[in-house]
Amino acid sequence: MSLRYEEIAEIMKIIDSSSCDELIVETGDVKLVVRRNGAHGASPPIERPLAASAASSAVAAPRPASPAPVAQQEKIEAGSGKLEITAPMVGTFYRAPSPDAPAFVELGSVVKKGQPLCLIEVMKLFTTINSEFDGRIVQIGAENGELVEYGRVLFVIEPA
Amino acid sequence: MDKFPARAGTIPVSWFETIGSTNAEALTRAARGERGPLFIAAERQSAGRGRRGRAWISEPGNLHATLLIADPAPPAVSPQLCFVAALALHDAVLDGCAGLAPTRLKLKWPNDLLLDGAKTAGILIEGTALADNRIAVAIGFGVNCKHHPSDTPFPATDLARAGSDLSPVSLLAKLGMRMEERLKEWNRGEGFSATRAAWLLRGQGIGDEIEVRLPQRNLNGIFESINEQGELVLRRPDGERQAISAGDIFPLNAKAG
Repeated sequence: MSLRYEEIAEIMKIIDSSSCDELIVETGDVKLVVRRNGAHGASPPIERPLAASAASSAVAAPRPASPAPVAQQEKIEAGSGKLEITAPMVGTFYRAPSPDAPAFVELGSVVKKGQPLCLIEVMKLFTTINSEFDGRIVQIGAENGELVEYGRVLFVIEPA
Repeated sequence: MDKFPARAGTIPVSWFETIGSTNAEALTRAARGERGPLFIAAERQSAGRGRRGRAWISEPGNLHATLLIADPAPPAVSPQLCFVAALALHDAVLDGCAGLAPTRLKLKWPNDLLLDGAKTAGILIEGTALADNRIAVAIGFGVNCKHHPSDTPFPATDLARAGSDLSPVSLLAKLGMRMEERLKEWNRGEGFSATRAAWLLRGQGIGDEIEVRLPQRNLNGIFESINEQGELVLRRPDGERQAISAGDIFPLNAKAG
């Protein structure tokens, strides 16, 4: 048997209104796995705000000097007219140029247009994402080492 | 040392005796408005770099070259350049190593070149955003022609071990030509199915059990294929398939111990 589009849409609605992060439905030879945004397979959101283990044998990432919030999103209140920096591609989000280097920016950092904010790695392409605005970082939308989707809001900037 | 040619294929080459990093130089030029295509090549790098800030040992006698291209494709498909570059390098090394059996040269996902199972070249692509949602990319090639490091997590080798006397200058000339061919085949991403098929023919470890090392955890499974985006398709022990967009892979067979 197979699942119809309507049935999948219904399942999506159910998980959307529930508190589940993951739902697995198996009927005959069909297996449907539904996960919420953050619960994406390659990079669950449950880990530390800054991953302590780095890829391969590279040096482990140091803890940030100031304690980072445990929540998935870091946020401080901003006025109206906030500007967003979104992910131009799917990939792994890095807040620092290398595991043992300090983050490009922190919450509250004042940034200039063109200033590097983060890296996104896909395959072995590392793309530096630069600020498109002068302003102050009021939200960081992903954790170091997290897999981000295309269009994900990475930073919210309050214009200067 | 051979004479430094002004071009590789039709691509201009800017040669340096010593430089910090050919990728860094290419990105600096991109920031100043250079659009390429242009090769930056150096006999020696004093600060050669690999993935995630790892050092790349850069001895004279090896090839250190970066190809700068502005707006190679829409950003979302630009990571496929990993495969384009890996194929061009595979082609160029075979061109330059007469008598080397093609089956001895494999590609490790996404873009390391392996000789008899050991790493003999790496490719690191760094992108920087331009205006209007375009990017410029610096495709850095590090090829162990005569030397290789000994203290690496994955075994390394060099082309001289296979009896090759290919010089960096000669290799770059071939790489320029092959890169132009493979870029044309890829056609800004529209020809990725041909790129993917060519990569799969040369891919190392397809069908084997591997470990994928991610920033936050490691995953085991069977390396089934690469998908239409170039992501590694991993079949987990529970049968579920997972697409991996970035990570280091290691074989898990007994021999690799």
